Amino acid sequence: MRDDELLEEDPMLAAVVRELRRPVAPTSQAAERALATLTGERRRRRAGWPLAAAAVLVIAWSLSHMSDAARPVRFALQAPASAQVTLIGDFNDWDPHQIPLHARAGEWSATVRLRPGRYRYSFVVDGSRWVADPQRAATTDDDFGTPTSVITVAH
Amino acid sequence: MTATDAELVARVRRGDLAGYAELVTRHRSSLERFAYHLLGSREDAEDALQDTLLRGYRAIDRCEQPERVRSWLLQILINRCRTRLTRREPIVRDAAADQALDRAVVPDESEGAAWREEIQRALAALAPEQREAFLLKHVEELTYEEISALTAVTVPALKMRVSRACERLRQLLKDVYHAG
Repeated sequence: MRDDELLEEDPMLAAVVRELRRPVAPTSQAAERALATLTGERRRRRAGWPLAAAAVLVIAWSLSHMSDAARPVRFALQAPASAQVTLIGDFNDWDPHQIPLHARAGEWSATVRLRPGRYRYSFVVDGSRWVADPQRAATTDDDFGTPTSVITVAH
Repeated sequence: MTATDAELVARVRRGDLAGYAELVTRHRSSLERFAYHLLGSREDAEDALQDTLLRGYRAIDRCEQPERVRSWLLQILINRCRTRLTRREPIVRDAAADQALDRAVVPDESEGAAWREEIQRALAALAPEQREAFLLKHVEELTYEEISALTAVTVPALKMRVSRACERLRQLLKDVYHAG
C-alpha cells in the first residue's frame, strides 16, 4: 500500500492522525517568550553603548545620585478579561517575567521602586499583547512600533 | 494583501522584528505540535520551540530558501528536539499533568480524552526516529524528499521508519480503538 493511501485505507490510523493534527492546547508561551527576548535584545543593542562604557556611566550616575532615593511608583491597568499582566520597561531590561501585576476588581497593578529619571514601559497582557498605559503619555521615541508609554520620576 | 513567507523573511533580514512575529504566528501551531508530539512533554516542547525561534531569528540570513522558511524552522526544531532526546531517559509521558491541563482548558468528553491519552502513550512507545519520521510524514504532511532534506536520512530509510511506526501504532491501539 502506498503511504498516500494508507490513511484512507486504515480508519484507525486516520483517526490517530486526525487527533495528532489538532493544535496543542493550551497554546504554549514559547513564541511570546522568544519574541520578548528578541525585542529586549534589540532595545539594548539600539542603546548603542558598549557594555563597559555603560557600566562606567551607571556607576558614575549612581554616585552622583546617591541622594536620589528610589521611590514607589504604581503602575495599573484596567483589564478585567485578562488572565495575566506583566510590566516591562527600561527598568527591567524589557523582561516580561520579572514584574507580574496583581488583579483586584478588574484592575491589575504593581508598585515598583524607581530612582528619578525617565523610563519607557509597556504592559504585556496574556503573555503576548503589548498595551500602552492609557493613564500616561505615549512615547515619541519608540522605533519598534510597539505600544509604549513613558514616565518621568521626579528628583 | 497577505505577505508571502519570502517577503516576510526579506523584511526580517532588514531588521523588521514585526515581520518575524508574523512568521511565527503563521507557523507556530505546526512547530508547537511537532515538538510536543516528538518530545512528549509540554515543558520540553516549549523550551525547544523557544530555542528554535531565537536561533531562527539570529540566523535568518542563512535561510537559503525563504519561501520555505517553515521547513527551515522545522529543521532547526528537529535538531533541538534530537539534542533533548539524546540527553534524557526514554519518554515517560506525564499523563496526569497533561490531563489536568486538558481539563483546565477544554472540558472534554472522557472518551475523547482517553483516546488521546492512548495515542500519546502509543506514540511514546515508538523509537524516536520512527516517531520523528511518522510525525513529519503524516502529521506535518511533508513529502519523503522534503523529510530527507531536513533530516539527512535517505528516502528508503524514512519509508521503512514510517512503515514500522504505522505497524507498531496499529498493534498498540487496536484494542482501544472504537470505530465511529
